[in-house]
Amino acid sequence: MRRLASLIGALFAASIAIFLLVRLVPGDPARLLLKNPTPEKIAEIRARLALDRPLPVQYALWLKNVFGRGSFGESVVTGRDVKEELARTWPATMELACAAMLLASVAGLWLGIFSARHAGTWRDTLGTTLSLLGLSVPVFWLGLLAMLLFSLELGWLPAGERGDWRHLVMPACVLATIPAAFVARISRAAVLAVLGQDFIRTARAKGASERAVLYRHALRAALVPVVTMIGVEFAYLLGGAVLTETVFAWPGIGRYIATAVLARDYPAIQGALLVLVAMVMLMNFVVDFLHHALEPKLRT
Amino acid sequence: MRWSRNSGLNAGIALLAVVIVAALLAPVIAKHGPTEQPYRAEALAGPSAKHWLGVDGAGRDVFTRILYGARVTLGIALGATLIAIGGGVLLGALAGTMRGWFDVVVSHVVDFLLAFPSILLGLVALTVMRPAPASVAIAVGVASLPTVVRHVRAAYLSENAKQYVLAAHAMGAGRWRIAVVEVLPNCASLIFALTALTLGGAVLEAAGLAFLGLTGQPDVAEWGMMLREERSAFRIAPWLCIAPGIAIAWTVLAFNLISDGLRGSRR
Repeated sequence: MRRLASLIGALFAASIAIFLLVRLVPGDPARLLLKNPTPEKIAEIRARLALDRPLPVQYALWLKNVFGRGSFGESVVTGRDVKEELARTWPATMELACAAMLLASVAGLWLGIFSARHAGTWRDTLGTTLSLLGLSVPVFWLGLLAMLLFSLELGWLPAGERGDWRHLVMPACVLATIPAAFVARISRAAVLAVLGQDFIRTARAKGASERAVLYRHALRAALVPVVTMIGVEFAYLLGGAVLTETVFAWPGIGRYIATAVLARDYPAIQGALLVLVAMVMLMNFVVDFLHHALEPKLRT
Repeated sequence: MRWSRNSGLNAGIALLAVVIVAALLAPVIAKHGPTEQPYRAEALAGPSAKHWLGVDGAGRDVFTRILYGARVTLGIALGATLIAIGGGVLLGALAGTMRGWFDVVVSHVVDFLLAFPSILLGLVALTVMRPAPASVAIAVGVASLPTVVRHVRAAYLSENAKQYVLAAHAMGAGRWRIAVVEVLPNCASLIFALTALTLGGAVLEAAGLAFLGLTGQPDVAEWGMMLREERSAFRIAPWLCIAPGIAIAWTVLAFNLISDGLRGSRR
């Protein structure tokens, strides 16, 4: 219950921060929006966006619109309803982020366990080098290279936009690279730490096979830090989605917000940011629960 | 094991040295200034003996721009890291030493900021500022600050519980003296590792923001910006997209190797 309260508090803080941030922009948004501003047009836009009212009133109006009518206003560039645009782009981002998350968790865990199992050999070196490279390569470049190879040269996969599963393969793999490398490093360290403990020696002593030791005992312990990481990972995935979606012309929130920032489309920026941050916070909330379920020490 | 850790650190330093030399000697090695366009007739030419990495769509030698890009990239990364480490160590140390309400406020704000994906923080910070390399440095620095605060605060908390702090306290040292003279040196290796990590992250993030078009004028010789510009010629001249990406990955890898090496030697 206390955590639920702090989640709601954080969401409110986020809404205030997002609201204020956009108002910090130097220059009059109304003036920026018009190609050839006349005093009447400026006054009209200011009235429409309620820019002529004091800040707290503006915030209250915005919040009333968001929670009362579920409306984020209209894009000042395209004139389209921001809520509808978000509803249209949101599923695409979730599809991409979930696919990438699944991929990153499975590939990362596998690579981490593989490295830990062969600790100190060339296989371990290969695994850790791979994960280090994964952390160092810019995602958007990887996306460009993948497109070059698989779409233009080999013609195996479509080069962008959303569609059936073949459209999803490249963006998901590219977006998953950094989180997978992260998971691999963390799970390798976790498995190595567990393998040195007494209960593993006991399991071995009572005759458990190396396989059983690894997958029944060590994996379980390695899962705890990996699950804790999911929240951070999810935040990263949504951020990385901005770049990945731009490269692959994926019609998600990430590309939407990147376009909105370039066009200084404030209602769109506010709406998209609020949705993204709320998603990350909710995810952290869920992860907290999972963490408590997995770690008996934390139960009270 | 020890050997392989040091070899990682050495490899990182060697990789980084190449980037630094490229940045320092750019005007000496390069064929022309970073924004001049002397080879318009050879636009989109492939790699050759004269142009090692080809010529871009605007008639500029790509190798030259990569060299100048090292200056821009290292400059942004250094600026961002100065902000992140300077502010982060200060806030983390203050929170970890003072405790009380200040600690509560700082921890909450940090937790709150960590819920924002860092590239989004940078993106939003750039909406507020005029797009330019200096703004990118500030945006990236602010976006990396929360992570540094969290690590330094945690280190101060665990150090403060140790016996040597108690001993210093018993000998009559004040809490600020202990924080600076006793605890800070013990956090030094963590801070160095964090610095290298932040530098690498800043390179990656700045390149991403530039790729989205938020660095300002398109003729700035910045690696992420080059990828953005050359993307349009992607189908005709794919080699133009290879070099800037390798340059980014090279630099980030150097910082990550150094960070790992520093962290390894701490234990």
